[in-house]
Amino acid sequence: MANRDETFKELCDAIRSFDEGGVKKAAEAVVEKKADLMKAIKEMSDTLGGIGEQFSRGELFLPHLVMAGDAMDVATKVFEEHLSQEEMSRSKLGTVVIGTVEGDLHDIGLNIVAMRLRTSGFEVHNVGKDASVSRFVEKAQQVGADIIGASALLTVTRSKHKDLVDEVRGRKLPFKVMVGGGPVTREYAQQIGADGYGEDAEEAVAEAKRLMEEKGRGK
Amino acid sequence: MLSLLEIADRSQSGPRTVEKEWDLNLFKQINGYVQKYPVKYDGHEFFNTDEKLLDYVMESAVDFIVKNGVYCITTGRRILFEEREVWSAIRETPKAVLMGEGKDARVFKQRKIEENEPLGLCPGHHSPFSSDIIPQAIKNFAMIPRTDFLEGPNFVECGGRDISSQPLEAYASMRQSRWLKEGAREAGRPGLSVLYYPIHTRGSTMIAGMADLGTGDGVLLSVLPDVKVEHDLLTSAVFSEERGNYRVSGSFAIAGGFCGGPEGAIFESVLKTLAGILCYHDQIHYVGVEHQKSLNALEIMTQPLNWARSVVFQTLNTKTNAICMIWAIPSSGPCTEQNLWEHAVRAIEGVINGGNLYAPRHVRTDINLGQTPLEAEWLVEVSDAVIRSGFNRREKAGKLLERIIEEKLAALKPVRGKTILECYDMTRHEPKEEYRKLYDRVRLQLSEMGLEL
Repeated sequence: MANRDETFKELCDAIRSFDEGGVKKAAEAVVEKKADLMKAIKEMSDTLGGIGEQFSRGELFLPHLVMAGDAMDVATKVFEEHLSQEEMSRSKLGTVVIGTVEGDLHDIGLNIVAMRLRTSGFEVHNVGKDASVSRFVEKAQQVGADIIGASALLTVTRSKHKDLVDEVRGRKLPFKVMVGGGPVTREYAQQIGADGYGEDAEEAVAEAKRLMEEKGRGK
Repeated sequence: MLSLLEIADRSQSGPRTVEKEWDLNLFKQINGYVQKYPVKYDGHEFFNTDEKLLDYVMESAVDFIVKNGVYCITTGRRILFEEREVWSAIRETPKAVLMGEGKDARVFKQRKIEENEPLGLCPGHHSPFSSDIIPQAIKNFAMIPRTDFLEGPNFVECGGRDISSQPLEAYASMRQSRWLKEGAREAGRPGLSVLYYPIHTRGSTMIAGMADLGTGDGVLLSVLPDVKVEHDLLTSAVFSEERGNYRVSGSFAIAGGFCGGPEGAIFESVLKTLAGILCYHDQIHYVGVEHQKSLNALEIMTQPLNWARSVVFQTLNTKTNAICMIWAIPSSGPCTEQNLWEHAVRAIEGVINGGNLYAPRHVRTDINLGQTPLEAEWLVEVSDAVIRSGFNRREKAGKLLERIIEEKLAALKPVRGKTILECYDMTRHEPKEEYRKLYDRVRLQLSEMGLEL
């Protein structure tokens, strides 16, 4: 009979193999053995983090991040029924709604940032490309987001970032706003009153973590 | 070749597919092609020497299109093609485009591998410029004697207002085209061909931008990453074809994305080129392989990306009529040693791979005014010297690239560089002293490596 660590190992190996069927089976086995589900989630997050690091080193690519994230979602769904809402909330770093601003169809950077956030422990809701301000805000309200992340690649569409910040500030909504993309700079982010800025995916992850710390301190 | 209206019809009747399924299937299919051959960088070559690989890449790309089609993000459907339709489009796309008018008319053509003819040139812009500087900048780029056509810049304000709504986008688009035409006239080249650069891809904005173009002018209509097209650009393709404008596509691929690594990106770049020919009737393509790390890594200039780019160019130049361009997109800005060395690498690659020269600009689109005519003139100077000095053979050019990368680029870090106002005198059409000295130094160092400049 497999001991607990071996059970987690099977689960993590299945995530590393992007094997959703294997993940479901291993997750169900974890539940059946009454193993510590919070520890299982931590192990899975570490595995996903390792996959994210392999991506950063150029050893894996975007589809691997997507497939690993999907595989972990399968296990999380199995565990959800056995965990309280408070425990589920503790199992993630925060919730991010992310998308490309209205009028911008470029999403490769968006997808990379979304998946790096996902593999770093955030719950990510990707509203995709060409997203209106209202789409960002409605989704954020629906999922109880901590952060809204908006990306732009076209020079003229970056002004939509300001519309988003103004909407959140104007309505006193409880979301931090992070911006990024080719034509966006840290200075521009500060100028429009955004809370955070990431030059690339790695910086976006660090910035999102910083914003969550700020939120934790009630800022 | 299928008409654009037929493409529009098929984009509304093809099978519905969720975008994420398309993305993951793209990876699965491309990865299958990579594994089957297997396509793998040998760790040494700067330029591919495997002729059979070119047949394989082309056949795989056609196989992909026939089995999967091209994804339309507007309708969420796949546009399907029969094999004969794909081959017919490949055969029927022209090998040369007549552009411009009168004494300024040029024939822009497909180049061959290791060819001895001078490379064609589009020297700018495809990057942000403050609107008050644009007319003078355009004039300066048009003054480069080798300029075949000139692409528009983008900008965030026009007429003292931010471009933040559809009416302003349309107005700004019209201004761009007029500035291009006026700049060409100011440079004494009234018939010089101009390429409208979409500051926004909304159909109405695009059409406003094309309103003042002549029949010898063009429009940039790029296929999106992951082999996707959409209706605003298809609308613009219909409009531009009716008016007789030529069409250009950004058909390069980004390694690290859904195509996988550099090997997979080879297939995506060829696929995007075919999708551009089929769905927008694009005739000129800037192709190749870049990397998702391109913002902050000089390594994008080096192996295996040089090799991957060579496979793309060789495939398209020997198996299709597509007119290919190299995109020099350095990680460092003007008035830096890095920028000039990065451009030198791309110019050498361009000669060997059969690429024309396209819009050298900084990889960062947040850098305003980050482009000068000197970088374009440097591309021409280096490419001419490669041909003149007999470096236009794979082995010899590969050795030169190896030296540049090892002795120069490896020791340098990406830097933002200077703006055109800081390092270039647009009244005298020449670099300022600091940039001139830097250029002279790099030029001398490259000459000492054996390239007669």
